[in-house]
Amino acid sequence: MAEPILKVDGLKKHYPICKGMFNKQVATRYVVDGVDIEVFPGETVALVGESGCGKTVLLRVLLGIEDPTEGEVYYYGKNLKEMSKQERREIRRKVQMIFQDAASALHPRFSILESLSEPLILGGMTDKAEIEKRVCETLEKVGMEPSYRFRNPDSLSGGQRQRILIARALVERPELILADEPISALDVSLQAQVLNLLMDLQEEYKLSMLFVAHDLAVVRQIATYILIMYAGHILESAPASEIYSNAMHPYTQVLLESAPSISKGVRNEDFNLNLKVGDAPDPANPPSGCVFHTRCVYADERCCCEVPQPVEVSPHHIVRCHKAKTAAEFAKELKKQDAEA
Amino acid sequence: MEQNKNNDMLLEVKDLRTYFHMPNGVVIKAVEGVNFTLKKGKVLGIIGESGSGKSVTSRAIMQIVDKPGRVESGEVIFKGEDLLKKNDREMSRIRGQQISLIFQDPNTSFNPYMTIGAQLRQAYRVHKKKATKQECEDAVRDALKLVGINNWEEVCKCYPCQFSAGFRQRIFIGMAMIFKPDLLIADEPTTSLGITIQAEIIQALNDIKEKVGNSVIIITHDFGVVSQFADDIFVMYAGRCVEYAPKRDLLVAPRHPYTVGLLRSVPLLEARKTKRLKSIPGFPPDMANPPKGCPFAIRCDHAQPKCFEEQPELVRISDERLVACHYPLMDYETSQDTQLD
Repeated sequence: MAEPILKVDGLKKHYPICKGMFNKQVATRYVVDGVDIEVFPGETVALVGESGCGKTVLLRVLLGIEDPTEGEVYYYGKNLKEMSKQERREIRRKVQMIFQDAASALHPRFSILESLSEPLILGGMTDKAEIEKRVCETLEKVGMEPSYRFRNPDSLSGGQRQRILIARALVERPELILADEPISALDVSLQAQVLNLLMDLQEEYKLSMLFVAHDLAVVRQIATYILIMYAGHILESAPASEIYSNAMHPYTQVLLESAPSISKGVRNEDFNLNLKVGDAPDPANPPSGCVFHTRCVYADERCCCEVPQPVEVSPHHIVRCHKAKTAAEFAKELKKQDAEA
Repeated sequence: MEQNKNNDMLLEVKDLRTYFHMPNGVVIKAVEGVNFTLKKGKVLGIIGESGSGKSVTSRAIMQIVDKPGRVESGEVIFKGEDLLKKNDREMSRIRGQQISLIFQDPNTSFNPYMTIGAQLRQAYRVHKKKATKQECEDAVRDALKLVGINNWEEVCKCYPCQFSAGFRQRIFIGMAMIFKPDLLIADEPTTSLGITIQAEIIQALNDIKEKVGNSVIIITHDFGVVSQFADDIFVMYAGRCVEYAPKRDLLVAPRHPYTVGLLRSVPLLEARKTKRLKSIPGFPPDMANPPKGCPFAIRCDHAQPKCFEEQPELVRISDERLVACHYPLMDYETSQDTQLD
């Protein structure tokens, strides 16, 4: 297989909690706690997890905005930590980010042209006419009239702003895009527009993408490989088709069950949530053993004290769960019952 | 809608119009003639994009439209009486006791400086000024137990910031249900929550409905939420109802092109026959200056010359179904797009 564009190896990001006059460290927040990711050229990897599970922090570390506590980030086989300033700048050009909240990610006093030419100027382009030409091209690519370049962000709608953010990420012709919930702030009809746009652009530019989302329905159309994240850990990772047809981890099954489903509504079914009522664990005080055991219905004593090791159940399908077999069998049983009913 | 005066009718809204008179003389027609009925113990889902007038409709029913908005005309018949003819004092007796409202954001709906118990007791005392301590205590206990909080005594001593957003929303629903109102209006109750928490909240609302027997109006832009919870669905576009139907009919065989477009663009867990989602082109119309004919005509694939000239009325096409379209799609079924099993 080709070399991965992005490789993350055992990444951890902990934040100290300091208190008192001398800012003594009293505790630690384990926000990201051992994450491995590989993104190959042309692939879309989706990172799915609920709010507070550490997705955004992970992206910040990947971009080099924050340094990891432990673990390594490699771009094109080169360690991010060991890169020179020049190399880091080069990487930032090839790896672009789409932010979640388009309203706050654009400078309110900058016209769209200024916002979009900023990365080009930083990248070393000086010819004004050339910059403007590139900006217009990119605007057309994201389905907007080039005349929008003279507008300010506050005269645009939410969907248009999101397009501008995508344009800003594309204007430098990147190879990898990190998208942090790019459509969750949009209306349903716009979500489809933006998802389609991302898919088209990906085909045209042969982009790789790391797509962060909080539900599995959103990434159904776009992802080739899916990682399920919970409380700073990756619980399950598998090719997309495997996740939707053969989810092994109880948490993945819960996510699938709670995602919007029209067929379920049609059949007048209730949610069948196999989940103990409760919240995700506090990152400052993570549970012992498996992080999910506090809400897992299959959990037993072993889950409380022993951290589950990754098991490759089929090619590229990796699960961290002691009870994966029981859970998978139970899920299959449910599906069977569904089919009969 | 028909003049159905039987006893199980709880709410009847007739030709409700709410305009915002802006200081610069512009009139924004947020709600332009909305009609619907709600029976006792039923759940009505109102679905639409942002800016379609969903929230304003709910506020008009409660008579809490903010200035410069004003309810222009129409009738809101609740238990046989027109709420629009009531004065402020009569209305404040109805609000909270007979109709209550849940907001989207559980972070801002509590006072951060008061304990949960104090706020719930206060909510009770607003209407029961002479209640004894014991009565208050009982009401608070019942309310919290109703939403599945069994350790209510501890919860009452805590401040809102000590709980997660999902739990706070649960408490807020309890507070709204403290007088067991006949009608609960939930305005995007799960929009800011994670996906498993969203499923929990919907389940909680369902349980309450079963125990108390109240009716619910749920306002959302998420088809997943309504398809799981509502009995009837009401699709709103540009301040008008475009389609009204029992849930199953609407999801399986939508008739209005806008409903079809919305359903097609929802990211779903079910596999689709095409890789690209079908999105609705364009944007909703500017409500300060609505178009002459059908407000959806400019975005509609099926629009004919008549659509640009004449506004379609909401007409009955079968026993329980109403559509506002000159050329409803009579033979469309959602299974054409999704591989529903």
